[in-house]
Amino acid sequence: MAIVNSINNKTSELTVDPGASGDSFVQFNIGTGKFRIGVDDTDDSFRISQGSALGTNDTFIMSSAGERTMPLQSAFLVILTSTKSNVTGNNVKYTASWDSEIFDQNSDFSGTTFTAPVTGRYRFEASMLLGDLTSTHNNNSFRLETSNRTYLIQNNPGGSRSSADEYSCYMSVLADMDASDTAVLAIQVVGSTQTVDVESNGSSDPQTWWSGNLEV
Amino acid sequence: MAKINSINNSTGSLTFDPGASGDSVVKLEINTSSKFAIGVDDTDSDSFKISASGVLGTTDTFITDSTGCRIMPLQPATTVVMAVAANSVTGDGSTYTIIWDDEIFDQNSDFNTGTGTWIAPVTGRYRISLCVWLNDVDTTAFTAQNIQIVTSNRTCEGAVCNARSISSNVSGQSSNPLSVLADLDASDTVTTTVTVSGGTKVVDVQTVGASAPRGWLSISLVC
Repeated sequence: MAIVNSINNKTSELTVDPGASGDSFVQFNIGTGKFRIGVDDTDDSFRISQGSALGTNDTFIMSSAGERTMPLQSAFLVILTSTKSNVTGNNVKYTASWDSEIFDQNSDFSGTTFTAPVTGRYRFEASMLLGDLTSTHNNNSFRLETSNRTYLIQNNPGGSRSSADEYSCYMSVLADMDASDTAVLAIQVVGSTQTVDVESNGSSDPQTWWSGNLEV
Repeated sequence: MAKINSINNSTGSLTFDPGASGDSVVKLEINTSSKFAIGVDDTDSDSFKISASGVLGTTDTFITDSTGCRIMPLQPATTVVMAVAANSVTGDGSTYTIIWDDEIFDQNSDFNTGTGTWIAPVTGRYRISLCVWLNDVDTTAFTAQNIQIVTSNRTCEGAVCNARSISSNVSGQSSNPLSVLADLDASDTVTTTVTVSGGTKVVDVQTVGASAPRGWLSISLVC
């Protein structure tokens, strides 16, 4: 029979339970905030969970092998599943409207825009495949536009295009964002007519994608 | 009145405080010195914290709020840019070590803006993202280039190509990104370099400042 040592007061603000329920945990209750930390008997993982049950609304899971996941952490991967034709080429800026979410933990992404849920440092990585380029499309701005600043990649997509008239832009940055700040991804190709596509090839082979996560 | 239950001996204590201080907290002390506190912070939207002190809200290392988002305000993480351009530093095969002299942020103060050097505070795996913005690569003589992330353990090279072919028609400008998850030991260093070859030493590492970065270096401790 398990020994139960419960340290609490009349409002049960802190409870220590060394396994009576199966889990070994410490429960913190204060105001509307409730968190539980401990070892989940179902898989012997260490967890930090919202509420009053390990295994429900887990914010942090460390397996017995040392593998850490955070199922509620803000993180997304969005892709284009089909090509967006003739969106730039003549200095028109195209803000990508993403038509498929591979994942969107915390539901911070909508349409074109990621909205930061809390103040922090966010990792963004993006790759955009341009198509139907000509030699005169000789300048591009690949833009990550955040509320605090715009990160910009500039190259000569027409001059360095492949034999299939394609060129891929890539960016990775750790960006500072405040709570409710937004981020969008845009492309602006200059030098000729509006014939440049942003290409993709379905969800199994995305050629244009954008991912982000709250890192620290 | 809330109870305070303390388990201690002559050199330290483990205290369970169910709300006496406003917070619901477990405090861990070693040799009579407060080391860590774990619990729910009553003064910060009831968020869950692990704090490297005896008090939640002081030296917080880990914060999870009601949305489930986790931040680590003291985790090593940096993004730096250039405030001052480096003019005519390569083009003739010279290798230039980039001086990132403007910090957008530098959690844990691991970056030296005078030398452009990051020093790893602990052994771990660090995500390093680099973008070098070049200017004046506007003649066909510039046939080669590379950028490097130089760590104590190894050098990661990328953006190897014909420098002129990727440069825009606007002053021969080009962006050159590179990203890697690198192994660093405590006190290892990271610097970044660029080399453009085939012409004369007229190529700049350019900037427009922190409001619209076109070149940057980001480093963070991932695991």
